[in-house]
Amino acid sequence: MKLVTYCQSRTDWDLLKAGKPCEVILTPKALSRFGKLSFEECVQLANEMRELGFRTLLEWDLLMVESSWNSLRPNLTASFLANFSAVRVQDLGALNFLHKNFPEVLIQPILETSFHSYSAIAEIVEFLGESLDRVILSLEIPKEELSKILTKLTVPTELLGIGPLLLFYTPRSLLSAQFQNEDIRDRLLVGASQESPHKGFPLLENDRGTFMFNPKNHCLLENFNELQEFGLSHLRIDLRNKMEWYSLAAGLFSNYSRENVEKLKEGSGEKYLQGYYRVNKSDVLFKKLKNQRLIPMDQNYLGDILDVEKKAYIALHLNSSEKTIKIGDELEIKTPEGKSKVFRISEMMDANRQFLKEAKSGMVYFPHLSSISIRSKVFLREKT
Amino acid sequence: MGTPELLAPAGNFEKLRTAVLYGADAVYLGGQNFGLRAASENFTDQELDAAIKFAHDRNCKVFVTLNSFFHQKDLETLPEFLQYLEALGADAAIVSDLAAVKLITRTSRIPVHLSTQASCNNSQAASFWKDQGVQRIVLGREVSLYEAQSIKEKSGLEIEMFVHGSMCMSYSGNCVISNYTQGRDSNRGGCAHSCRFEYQIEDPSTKQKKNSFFMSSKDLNGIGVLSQYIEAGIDSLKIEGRMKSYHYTGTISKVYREALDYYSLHNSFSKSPREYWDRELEKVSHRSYSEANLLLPAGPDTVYDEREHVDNESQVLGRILEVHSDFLLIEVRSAFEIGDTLELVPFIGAGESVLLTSIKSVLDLEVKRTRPGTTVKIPLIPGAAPYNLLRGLS
Ligand code: SF4
Repeated sequence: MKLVTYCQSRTDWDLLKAGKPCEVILTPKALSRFGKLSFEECVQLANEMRELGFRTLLEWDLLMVESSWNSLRPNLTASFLANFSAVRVQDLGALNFLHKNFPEVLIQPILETSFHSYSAIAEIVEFLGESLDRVILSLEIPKEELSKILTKLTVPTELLGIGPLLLFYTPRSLLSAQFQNEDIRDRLLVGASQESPHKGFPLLENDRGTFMFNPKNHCLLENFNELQEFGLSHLRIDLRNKMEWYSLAAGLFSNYSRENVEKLKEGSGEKYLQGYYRVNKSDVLFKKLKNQRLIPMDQNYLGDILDVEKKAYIALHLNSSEKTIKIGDELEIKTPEGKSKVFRISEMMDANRQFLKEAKSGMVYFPHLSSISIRSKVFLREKT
Repeated sequence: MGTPELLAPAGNFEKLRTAVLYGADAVYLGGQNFGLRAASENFTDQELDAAIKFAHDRNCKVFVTLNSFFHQKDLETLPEFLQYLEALGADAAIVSDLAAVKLITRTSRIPVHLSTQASCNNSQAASFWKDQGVQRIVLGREVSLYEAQSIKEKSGLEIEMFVHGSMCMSYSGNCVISNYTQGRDSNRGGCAHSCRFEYQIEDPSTKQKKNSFFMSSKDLNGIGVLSQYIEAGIDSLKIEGRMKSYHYTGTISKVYREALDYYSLHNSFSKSPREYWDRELEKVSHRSYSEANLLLPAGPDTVYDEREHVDNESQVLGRILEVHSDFLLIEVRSAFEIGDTLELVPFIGAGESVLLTSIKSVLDLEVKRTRPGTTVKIPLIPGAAPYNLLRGLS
């Protein structure tokens, strides 16, 4: 497995070049969410890196509206792009633009928060064809699924090995308005929810927007050997504000030791999680978000009880225009509390207090039944 | 220049009926799976059938949301559902995920609309999706009207934009706060609205602290720039809010219907009853309004820096269930009594205020004060129709 890391400055580069050649992500301010380099600096560094055998990647992970795109467009020339081994993009507009206009440019699509299925990843791979350099995979794919995807994919792949986990990204400036007397731009602030136990969210505003990170960083380094066995080709080390730990992290790639992973994690002063690597159950709570009893999962659903008058009536609003109910039919009522009651229609009236033999729509009043509450669902029982 | 389609939310059958009757040209709704509103009631397969028939009978289109970012296992059951939707005659599927887009375009004839969740914000991205078979793009809320026009011209695709309702503060599809704090995938319908929370923000270098709702966006209100939507050639105006009340659905659909009809008649808004529309838009529960990014990039004044509260909603007393020759049958949602003034909200035209002189129970007994969750009879109001809303006038 190969190492990929970031270079944000010349100081970073001094650190990196002491190690073995690897792949380096250069982050221009105009294209990258947290980038600090000018285009000229990127080109200069890329040239120096190439000479020492490093592969250079240009990061373009900004999402862009049409006007930002138009102002950026003149900078994106073939000669500029030729300075880099590949370009990393998240915006599918950027991906499309590079693919169509610069067939010689290799592309690394960033699919970290979007496409989690093999099918979607395979579509991107097919779309890019020869232009694809490698795919940056979603962090929400659990390992069981990941191993299947990696077995099927025949192209190089990358995951975040260690680094911050971005939770939220908006182009709006949200923090500076809160601290009007201070220049908080490009400084890490910390947020604590006042309505949940969650605190310690790193917050950052720069001229590209506002970002919120998870209090715990992401780390999959413990799974280095397993990921290698699955067939992952690249692991990314994002120590952008902790470059002093870079050599230890890089050392793991030639001489992996669990001890050094722990040393790195402890030394960095951050807390870590493995996110959804072991299992992803982020859809199992959905059933609890609403009362399942109020969902009429039955083709014989007739409508809802809208009124209950003790000792007098229960009132059914017939929703379905398809079904007719008649005297003698058997109905089942399911209450929001989970009770169920079956009854045979002995009489029914409309709002004019006229007795009905059958009804297909509107309000129908039946003699009162105990334990039935409003919002109960009513179903026609099939005749056996 | 034709007027755009008015597209309203339908969180359940009752809201669908309200949206259709109050003038939506199209509604969007979700089945029990694959959408982004797991907490909304949504539609069962049987209800979908009835909903599509109800809407089509009234010349209204139905778009079905399938806009999750799919995991492989979620994709397995999608083909069967697509077949069902096609058989029902669904007018489009709203999709974010590339695998789902390709599956639909390869195996069905259902038109594909790209969900705003895909954060398609520029013409290059629109052109990518066009190549994948998408017919319409629901643009990200970051896009201005001017940019939308350019995207439409360059891509040749149909363009849908939000015109009213709550706003996701993040680039859509790029917020995973719920995934990591609540264990609920916001891109599969589990958003916990953490952006609406109060946060304490600390600057560690100065130790300065500030409490604020800094991530909460004001609601979008596009009524003031409706002519710009039309002039930009936007094909569809979308109202947000499948989770909102039927009062919201009805009121907002009615206002925009009337505004669009006004424009198509007069070709301008210069003498329009704008103040009346503004007053109506104030009557539903909402955060402070803004025009967000429609004309200029959203500034600090578009943040809703206060706790969520409902103080501006006019009270919904109920809805009319049946119109008889001598009475209206009402489903009571909020209590009212004899002597109250009610406002009938007709499907078309200005509301009618009436002083309530009599209330009877279904058993024809006199009632002084109604109770929510009951049905009662009140005297006829001219022009009333089944499913009209009744509001209280304070
Ligand atoms: S928490 Fe807010 S910003 Fe995030 S997805 Fe939900 S609504 Fe959007």
